[in-house]
Amino acid sequence: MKASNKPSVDTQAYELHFPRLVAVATSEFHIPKEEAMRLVHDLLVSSLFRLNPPGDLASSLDGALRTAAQRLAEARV
Amino acid sequence: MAKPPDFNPLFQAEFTATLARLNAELEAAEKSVEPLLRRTPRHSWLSLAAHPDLSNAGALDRLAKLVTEYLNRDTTYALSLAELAVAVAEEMPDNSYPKAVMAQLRAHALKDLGKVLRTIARHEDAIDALLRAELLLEVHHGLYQDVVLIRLHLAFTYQEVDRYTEAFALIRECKQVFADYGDSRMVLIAGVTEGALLHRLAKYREAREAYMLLMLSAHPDLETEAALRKNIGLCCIELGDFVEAESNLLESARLYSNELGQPIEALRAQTGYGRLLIRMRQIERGIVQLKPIRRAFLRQGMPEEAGICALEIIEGLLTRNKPEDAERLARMVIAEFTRANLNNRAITALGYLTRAIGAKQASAPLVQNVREYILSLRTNPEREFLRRTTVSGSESEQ
Repeated sequence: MKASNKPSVDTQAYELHFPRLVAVATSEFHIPKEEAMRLVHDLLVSSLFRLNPPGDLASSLDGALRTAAQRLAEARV
Repeated sequence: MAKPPDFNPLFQAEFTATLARLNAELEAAEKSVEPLLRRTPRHSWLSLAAHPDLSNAGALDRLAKLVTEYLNRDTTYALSLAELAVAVAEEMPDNSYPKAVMAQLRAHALKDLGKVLRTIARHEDAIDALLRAELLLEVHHGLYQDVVLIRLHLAFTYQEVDRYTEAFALIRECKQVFADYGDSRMVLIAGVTEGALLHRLAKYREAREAYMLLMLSAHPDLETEAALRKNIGLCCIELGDFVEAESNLLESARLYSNELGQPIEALRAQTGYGRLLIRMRQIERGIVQLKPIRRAFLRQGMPEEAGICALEIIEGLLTRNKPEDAERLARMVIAEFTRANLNNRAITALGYLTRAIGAKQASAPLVQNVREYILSLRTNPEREFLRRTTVSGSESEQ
């Protein structure tokens, strides 16, 4: 959560980033669609509760998805 | 508007509900948390762990903000707040929020506790709290951003217990991850931390490079620029690059004084400039520069800073072969430290220096060693004084 006491993600941002990130997760990281949707949803929900919001939400979510996908792949090996 | 093909109404509904709930909790916490704390004696705060006004994310956010607010004002109060936040987070039923969020809330409360414990130099307890936080987050693939934040705090703490290799590894990992996330503010913080650690380990060339890289690439704000310039200047002194040292220290002092309105920081940068003059063997100029700064620190009720400034003067006096004046000043500093009830270890180190001056065995490196030691006590008040001696031009520690 940020200093202004408002979460840095809102419903509009959710609607904007959810499909975009699901598309990246499935096409780039080959995560099955259902799993990708759950992962992206969890990323967006957890970003509501982050103390230090990023300067650029899109970059932050992209980075979060990339690391999550890597960790997921590592966990599968 | 038509929903995109990947839209999931259940997820969307959960997100909207969580957002609304969080906003309501944040608003309620602003009104309820502090009055509740005021009504309850501090020794009974832990009994509030399951209080309905506290058992939510909004209240935890409020407690975290209070910890930050009190960290540099009243560490005992900050510790009580952080312990309460950990207790609240642990008491909350596991199904209060989605699993990842519960892990986040508990981990951030532990991170704040770790921060306070480090501030009061309970470093091992701080490491324990931070490792517990890391463990909570590790199983959630989407929380790596939170993991690296905890790891950065671990790195801060490892520095204080001389675990430098681990600290460096963590800082570099964090910097990379923050960059991947496009979080330029945290990249800057991690970069400054890396520079400061190199600086502390007397790796001045690498430290200067780290600071300069940040100046060029990290778009620092004015306050960070002032701090970076001061540190670059101090490294340049040690590297004998006096021209660069002068321009950076003067610019740092100007920024602090004219642009930022931070007179104490300006005095610190000016102390660095005084050190530069002493090292350039412009001893009289250096002493003339440093004396009013020392008086200003004393007027501000900052005897430790005044003592650090006095050590710069003592270095100059020894270089000028005026050991009697140096010894007199060292005794004054001991008296000031004693009156202010400062760390006994600092007083012992100063006593050692004073005796060495009296025995005509003190050198500029010894004065520098005592100064660095006293500065290190700020973050590690239990650190032992290691007397460095110069043997055939190289330094060794005893």
